[in-house]
Amino acid sequence: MKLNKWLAWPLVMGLVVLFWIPFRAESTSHLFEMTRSITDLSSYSIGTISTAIESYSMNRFVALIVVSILFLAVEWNMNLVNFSNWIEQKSNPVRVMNYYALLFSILILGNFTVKPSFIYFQF
Amino acid sequence: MRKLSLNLFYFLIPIILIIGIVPVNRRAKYVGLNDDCSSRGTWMHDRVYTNNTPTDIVFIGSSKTINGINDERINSALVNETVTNFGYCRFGRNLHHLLLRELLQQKQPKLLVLEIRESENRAGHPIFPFLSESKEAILPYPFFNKNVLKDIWRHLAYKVELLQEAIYSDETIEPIRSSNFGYLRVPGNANLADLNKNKLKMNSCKDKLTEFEENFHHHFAHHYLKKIAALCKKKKIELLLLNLPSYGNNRTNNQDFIRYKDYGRILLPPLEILDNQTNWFDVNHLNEQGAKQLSDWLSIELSAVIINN
Amino acid sequence: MNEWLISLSAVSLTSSSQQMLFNSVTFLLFFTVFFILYWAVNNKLNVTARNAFTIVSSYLFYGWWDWRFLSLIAFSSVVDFSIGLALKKQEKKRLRKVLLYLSVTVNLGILATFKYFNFFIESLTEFAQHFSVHLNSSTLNIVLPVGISFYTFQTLSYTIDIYRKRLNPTQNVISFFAFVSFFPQLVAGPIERASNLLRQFEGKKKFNYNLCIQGLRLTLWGLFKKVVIADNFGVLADSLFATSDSYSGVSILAGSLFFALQIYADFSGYSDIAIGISKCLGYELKANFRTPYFAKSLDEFWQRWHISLSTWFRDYVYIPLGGNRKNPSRVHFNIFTTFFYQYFGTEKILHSLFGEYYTDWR
Repeated sequence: MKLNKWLAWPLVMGLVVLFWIPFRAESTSHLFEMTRSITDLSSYSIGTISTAIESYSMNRFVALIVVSILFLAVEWNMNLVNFSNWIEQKSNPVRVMNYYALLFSILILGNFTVKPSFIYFQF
Repeated sequence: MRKLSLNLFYFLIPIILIIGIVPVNRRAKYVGLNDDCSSRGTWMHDRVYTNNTPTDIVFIGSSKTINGINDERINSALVNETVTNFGYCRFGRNLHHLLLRELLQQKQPKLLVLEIRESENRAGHPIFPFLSESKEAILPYPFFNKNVLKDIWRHLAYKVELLQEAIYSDETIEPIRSSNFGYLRVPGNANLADLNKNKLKMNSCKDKLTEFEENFHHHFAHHYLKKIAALCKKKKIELLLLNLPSYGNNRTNNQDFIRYKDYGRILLPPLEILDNQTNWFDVNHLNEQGAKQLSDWLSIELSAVIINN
Repeated sequence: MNEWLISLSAVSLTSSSQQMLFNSVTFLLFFTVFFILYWAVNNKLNVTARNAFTIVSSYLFYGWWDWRFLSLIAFSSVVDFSIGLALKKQEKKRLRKVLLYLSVTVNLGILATFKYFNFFIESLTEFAQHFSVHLNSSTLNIVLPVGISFYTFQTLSYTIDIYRKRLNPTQNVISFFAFVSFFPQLVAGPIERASNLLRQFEGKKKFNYNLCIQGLRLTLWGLFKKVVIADNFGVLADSLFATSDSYSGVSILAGSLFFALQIYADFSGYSDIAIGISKCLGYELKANFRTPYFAKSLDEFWQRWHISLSTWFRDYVYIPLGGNRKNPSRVHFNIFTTFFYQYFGTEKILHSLFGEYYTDWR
């Protein structure tokens, strides 16, 4: 069955998001507990999310969401080419503006406080 | 390769300039050092900028000054003068110069007692890049500070962190303590074996530098010492240089102090205090008893200086 | 003051070991010095000297984590280089098979020992406890060498390709060691094939400004993904998954969405930096991700996610097991095997799953 691309990619992304949940489970009972919570609509409250965001900083969260939307828009636009080839097609001022935007995002929003880690080093 | 270097240089210069130009809160710079030296940075800032008590006699130096000079005791002895210990852990003349300048923005000290010891540092103070203005940090005096590049990086990285804090955080850091005095008491006694070992080390000749080496290695420190002396002269502050050696320095070679004579009068604490092993917390720091004896001796010396003035 | 700043300065009262991650100052210094010297020696010296310099630098890079890991990578390189040469000389089918099995056994043996030994021993210890047999597992703790799977798969593909007569073994031990230990892709891929990367070590190189600029662009993009997207969403995901007592469905879904962004930006960012810095040195690595979250089917997602691993499994596991390229089950098999391996990769999860199983059973 062929789905419309505007329907297909959120569906695929949703499935992948669900797929990652077991990676965060600490045990089978933990996984069952999480699965139960997702299927139990009465447990849906935004309390824990707002606590997590406030402890992280609301201003920073808003900035992160804005930057992430821009990031996903660029990724969508890039489609199958890499960033270098994608940006090469842009005019010189747009290219330079993009470089500075990336550099300023790194400086202003970069998280340097987390202990250096990389998920796939355990691979 | 040349084209690449030039393009990278032109690309990065605006970033460095912007980071340098954007102002950050002065107190935030000191608060950011709260994990270091018993959060002394915030206290020093607040003592200068928010505490209106004058600072007539100021001590600037390293942890030897922090633990060795009981400013409250000297303050009680010199009834009409307010004494403050502005020692900060570790050593570096560029920080001493910066602290003096910050102090002069708010206070009018009459006497500055600056710590001297066996030798100067080859580099600047490690916290200097965190506290200095960008112009001084990005375009520092380069001869011959071995950490010059590291210091520029530290300054830029710290400023980025402060900018992030200014944008995202509205947390106010309360004063750590509000005392007028900066002395930190260290009770306890040093291990005698450590003291004796240090004495042997102190008096061996192998570590002594030639005059050329001295001038080369310590050029950076003397550059700032000259600036401190010049600033004191300009602001009519009497500069005294207080020798605070490690345990076991017999001071047999007074040539060591000749290079300081142009800056100001040198104060050499009596060897009875320094040679007494029960006065030491470790080989570098006096304990509570040692600080008491040194501070009593200093009270007499400083009284004489004040009377002469 | 933040820890990363303290670690840069003498302000730190405790010395912390610095990992040489691509987003660390240590790596920035390492790479700047390497880059300048690399192009300086490239013009003065021959290919062998340039590769020898690359090996020394790569070993320094890898040894920064733990110098003991160096013996493993050196051993793995020696074994596969020797077996590669032996396969070239050997015409008898049976002996060629023996050589192949030897390589597979040694490589997978090392991988299994270092990656799963702890897990199996701990499971065995727990299992033995049910029968009142107490084994001392504390002495069996083995440190997992960083990125061991990546270079193991890389060296294995070399031997298998020679066995299949699709590749001629290199006669140059220096080139081979440089291929196995090449630091940009050593610890986190992309998993390269000898047919692409090894031959790039065998020719002369000339500094290419345009290629280097392409590399710097990718590096900047990768750094942005890692430091801005991954490391920020990582904090949020950790915080949401940490509050397990008060789980609500929506916080798990949000946590999982943030984790999905983190894991993608983390891994693909690292791959972008690896590909980017390789370009700066004149090497072209294969793409590892192609915006997988915008795939329009699960099959397509898998073709765009960790491409170097899924194609590795396709070429060296699925096809030898009789897979048919036209069969749609190929994709499903790839999904299964690769994710199965990744599940194994997250050893902690598997251990806790089994641990829980044992607890429940008891």
